Amino acid sequence: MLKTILDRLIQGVVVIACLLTLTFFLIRLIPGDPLTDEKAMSAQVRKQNMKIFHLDKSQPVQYVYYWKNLFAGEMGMSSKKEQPVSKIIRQSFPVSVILGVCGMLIAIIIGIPAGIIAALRHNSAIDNGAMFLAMLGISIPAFVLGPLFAKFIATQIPFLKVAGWGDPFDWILPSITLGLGTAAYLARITRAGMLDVLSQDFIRTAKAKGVSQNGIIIKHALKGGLVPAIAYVGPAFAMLITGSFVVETIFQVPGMGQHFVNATKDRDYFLLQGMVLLFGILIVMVNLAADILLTYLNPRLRSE
Amino acid sequence: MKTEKGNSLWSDAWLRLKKNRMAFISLWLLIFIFAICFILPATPLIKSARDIDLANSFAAPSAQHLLGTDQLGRDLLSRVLNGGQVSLLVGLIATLISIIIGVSYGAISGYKGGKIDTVLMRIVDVLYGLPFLILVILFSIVISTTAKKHEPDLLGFLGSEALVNLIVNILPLCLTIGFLGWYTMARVVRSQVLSTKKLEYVEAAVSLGLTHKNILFKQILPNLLGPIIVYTTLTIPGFILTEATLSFLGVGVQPPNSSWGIMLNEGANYMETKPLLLIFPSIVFAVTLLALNFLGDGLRDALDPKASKD
Repeated sequence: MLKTILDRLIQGVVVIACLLTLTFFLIRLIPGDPLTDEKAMSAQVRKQNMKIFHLDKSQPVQYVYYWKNLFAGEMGMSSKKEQPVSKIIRQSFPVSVILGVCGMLIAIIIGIPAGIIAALRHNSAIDNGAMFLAMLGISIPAFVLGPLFAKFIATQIPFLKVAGWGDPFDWILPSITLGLGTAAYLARITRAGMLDVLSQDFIRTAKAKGVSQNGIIIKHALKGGLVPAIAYVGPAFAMLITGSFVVETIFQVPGMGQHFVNATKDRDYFLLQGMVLLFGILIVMVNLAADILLTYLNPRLRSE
Repeated sequence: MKTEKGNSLWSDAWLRLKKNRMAFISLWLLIFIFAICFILPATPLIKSARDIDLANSFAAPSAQHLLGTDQLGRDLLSRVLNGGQVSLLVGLIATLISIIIGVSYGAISGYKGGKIDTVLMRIVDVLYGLPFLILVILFSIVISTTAKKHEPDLLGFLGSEALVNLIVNILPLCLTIGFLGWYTMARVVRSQVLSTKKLEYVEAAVSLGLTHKNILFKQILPNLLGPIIVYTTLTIPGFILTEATLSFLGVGVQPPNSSWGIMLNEGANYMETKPLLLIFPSIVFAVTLLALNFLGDGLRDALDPKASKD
């Protein structure tokens, strides 16, 4: 088990290193730089960045300085916002985490029970209805749902706002918009996993022994049946985090997604690199947590 | 003498598909959507999607404009159809690219096996960990700005403005999505090849002295068409969604080109006062994705009865 986790940890580090390297060189492949933009880098920002990243040197040299500074915790200055990248991250990172976690919670709270119930009532009206809703959830993306929610729900309920991120009530609509699609995927995967387990011999044996329906589900079926759903939580979170770019645009949430999209358009090298680093760390951490949970649930993986 | 005609996998699958009502309706719906998106705008029945008429902006639906007009007075119906062309085209071309890469990569990895397989799949593991949307945004901006820089040269070389527009504005998106979206296909094909290559008919092919290329591409791959077709059908809606997401964020298709993503973005801006601008494209977009997903599910049940959970 320790070997698997260590293996995954190393893989996560490789993923982040690849991601940062790709970002570093890709953003510099775009014609022009922060200086040629109409909103040019101010002299002060340039001086600061120059001092730590040696912007006048060749790209490979800048790349080496980038890593050196990263280990020293130095991420540079945003050329557009004229603020240290670390300060922007301190402000927007908690917002993105709250949005991501709330979205994931909604996905889990809706998706997994729906999948379990659909599997238990296989081929019934409940099953068909739930699976049709799940298909709708997959096919109607956040940028269709979000504006519709804002128009038809936010204007009706007094404490909900169309946009903004002031009090916890403002978390509700963006989180639902973000989580519903993932809930739909989770419901389908949970249902398939449960059906798979429920059709196996040991469930029939338990039934023959006279174990109650609830006992079968709770003691025997859930543990195996939920494995595919938990395996999906890692990729699902990556999808949620990048899906938040859209949700943040719709509801004007001051998270990292906005900064990422704008930094790409503005060629704001340092802000972009900072955002990608944080997104990468978030995704790798959640994947790791899901892997640990999986090895714990699935004895076959543990003995490897 | 009359020979009994056997049932092929495909005729069986067709029968099973016909029984699945949702999938069958979806199939006809998709044929209909493709037909009106690609044929109708070429006929004089539909106005040009680019005719701006500011005096007539936000017109209500009428005989002249069946769905009304948008903020610039353009006919909404023809914009939905034209945007559909772009969205569907990007989805199809990107899927084609990803299938070519994914199938060859997965097939080679599974067929070679051993160390090569381990290394190739390790690479896919790492690529899989990279956030798809972040890389798609970065790559598409790099490719499209580079293409734009060479726009005058291309125009001089090719002459046709429509063709250059396609290369500069649409093709970069297809390339990016296709080049970054093949991992799942590679995994699917690899695992299928791994189990297929142990079958006796492959052993027979080896003992007959066929070349590896022949065995892999002529003997093994045709037997994997089922899973490949199923996964292809499920990939197309995903990629259409990616294109729309990018266009919604303002980093995909650029105006005056239109796509469903752009129309949804613009519609969201006017939803307070003119909800129809948001609602019409939303419906068409959602119905198309829904039909593609239902068809994909139906095809999986039809072609691979073992995998279906019914």
